[in-house]
Amino acid sequence: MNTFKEAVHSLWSSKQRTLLALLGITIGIASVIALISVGSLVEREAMKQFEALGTDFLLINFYPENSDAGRFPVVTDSHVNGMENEVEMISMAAPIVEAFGEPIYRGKKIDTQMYGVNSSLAQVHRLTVEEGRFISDADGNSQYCVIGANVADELRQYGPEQLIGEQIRIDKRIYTIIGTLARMPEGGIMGFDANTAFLIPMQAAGRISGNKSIAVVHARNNKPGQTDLLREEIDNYYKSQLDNIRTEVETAEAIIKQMEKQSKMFTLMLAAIGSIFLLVGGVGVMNVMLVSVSERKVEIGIRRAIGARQSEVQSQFLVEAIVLCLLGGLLGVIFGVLSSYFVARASDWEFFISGNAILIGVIVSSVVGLFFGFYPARQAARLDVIDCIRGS
Amino acid sequence: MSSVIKIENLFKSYYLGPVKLPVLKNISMEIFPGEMVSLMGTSGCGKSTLMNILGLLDKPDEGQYMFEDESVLAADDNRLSIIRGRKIGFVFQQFYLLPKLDIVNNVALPLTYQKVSTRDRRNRAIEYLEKVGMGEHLHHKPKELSGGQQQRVAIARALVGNPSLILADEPTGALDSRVGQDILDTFIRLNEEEKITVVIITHDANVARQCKRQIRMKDGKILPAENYKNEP
Ligand SMILES: Nc1ncnc2c1ncn2[C@@H]1O[C@H](COP(=O)(O)OP(=O)(O)O)[C@@H](O)[C@H]1O
Ligand SMILES: [Mg+2]
Repeated sequence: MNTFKEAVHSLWSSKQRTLLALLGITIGIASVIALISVGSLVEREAMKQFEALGTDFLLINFYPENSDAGRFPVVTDSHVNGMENEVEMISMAAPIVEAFGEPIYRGKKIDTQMYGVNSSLAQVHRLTVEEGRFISDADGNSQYCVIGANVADELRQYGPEQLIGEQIRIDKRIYTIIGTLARMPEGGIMGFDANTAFLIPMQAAGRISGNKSIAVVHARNNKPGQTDLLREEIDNYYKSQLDNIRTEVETAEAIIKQMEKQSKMFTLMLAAIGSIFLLVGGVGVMNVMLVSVSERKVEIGIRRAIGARQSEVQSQFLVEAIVLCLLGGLLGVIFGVLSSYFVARASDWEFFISGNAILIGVIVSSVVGLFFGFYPARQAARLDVIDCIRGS
Repeated sequence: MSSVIKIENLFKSYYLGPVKLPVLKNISMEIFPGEMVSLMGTSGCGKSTLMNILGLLDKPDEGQYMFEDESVLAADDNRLSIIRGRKIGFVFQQFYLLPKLDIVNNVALPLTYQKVSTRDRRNRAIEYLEKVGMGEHLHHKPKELSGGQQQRVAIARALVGNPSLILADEPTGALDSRVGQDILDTFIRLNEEEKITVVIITHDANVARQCKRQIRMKDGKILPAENYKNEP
């Protein structure tokens, strides 16, 4: 404790030099902390989206086994229903037919994404209707539509009394709004954002695009953790039903795993970058400590003459280096957390202080102090006492 | 009574490149507890070199050195540090106080290397500062004091560990003669009243003469006593 006080005292009395050394370490630690905490903010944000979607979510895409040979397989509603019954791991499934077009409302283009769907989509995506009703299987190819929350907001700008019953034109066809969706907490991952969606009955979509085949199935599985088996069963099912077909299954689970792997690599990369900063900062500290040792030769000589052992001189300078680095580390943690706070605010992410980051900051800075302080401290301890005292 | 210091046949040379420069040439002497000894000689005759060896800051090339019956030339650096800290007090010509510490902390500094508690350190520092007449200046920094005052503080620092021996290398050399005499009187008083063993190194015959015993050096050798007994 006393050595610590002395170190603080000594650092304080040579403020300029101290400040210089602090700068390097502070920048080093601040960048490490900022990078790490921004990294964990990003990770948390992505996880939140997946949690909202549900980790049991999956997508099935269809491709011809051999695109040169024969016809493109036509996947229909009944195949999807069949899969729901036969593949045990699938608890529910919703077919989606592609549809393209430019919805126009009161002469204005609407920013939206069109999907041909049936009633099961509401279950799979846990959609709730705000006004009106969802698309029902009885709608056939009626020119009805259900719109997401963002689309509804956009349309309201043009001043309708109410949205239900309003008409939207796509090419020559007029679609009547039969329902609006409640806002979903997060969206836009795995190819579907309910908030910007423009949903029409499957058969109506088939008429627009001329393609009756189902493009993709959104589904949920009830046996998480067995992605490979799931893929195999799904593929086997469709192969038993159709010729020249191949499926590709993306599961939320697999994507999360992939993301975790990526974020580990990201963290590793950040750690590498941070280490370079710290190396620079550490060399700065070493430099400052070496200068300090050579400027304080007389002090070292006096201390040795009045009874300080080599080890005591060494620990004096080591403690000084560590205190210096800890101080820099503390400032670095503050700047790092602050800058990640501003990044979070600018990106509209939820902010949290990662306890890990602070712990890392404190540990890393003392290790840097220990490592880069060791050599100057040893130099100080090994100085020849006579040289020191005669030095002035 | 056994001696504080007993050296026999000490030799020490410096090397300037390949040139050997003998500085101490066969020095033997013995100093006993309670003595007040002056070591006098012209500048460059090897006094400081000898003092550094006596103070365990340096080692001779050859010879024997017993400090309180311990053969110190064989001791390792840790042991030498401990002996310096507990048994020897240094006073230098340039005072050598730490400029960043106040007077009390300067005087208490040797005790920090002897595991003395903070409060005891402070009390003892104050006690010794009072002994050298510096009890009023506890919280001044060295540079706020005159040379004579700084040297008094340095003496208090040398005394605070209750050593067997004070080694003073030209303690009055940086002071004008009146202040120098004051410092010398302080040593004389400490020697008489507290029986502290003092070795004062000086080139000043007036200083040397006031010590109970005088040793003269010339060109790296100690002169036999009869050579200077009768000098003025
Ligand atoms: N480190 C050294 N290297 C070379 N010569 C030295 C060294 N230290 C002292 N000397 C020389 O040794 C001689 C004695 O020096 P010193 O003991 O300081 O004398 P004094 O204290 O009596 O004036 C001088 O000639 C001095 O120049
Ligand atoms: Mg000298």
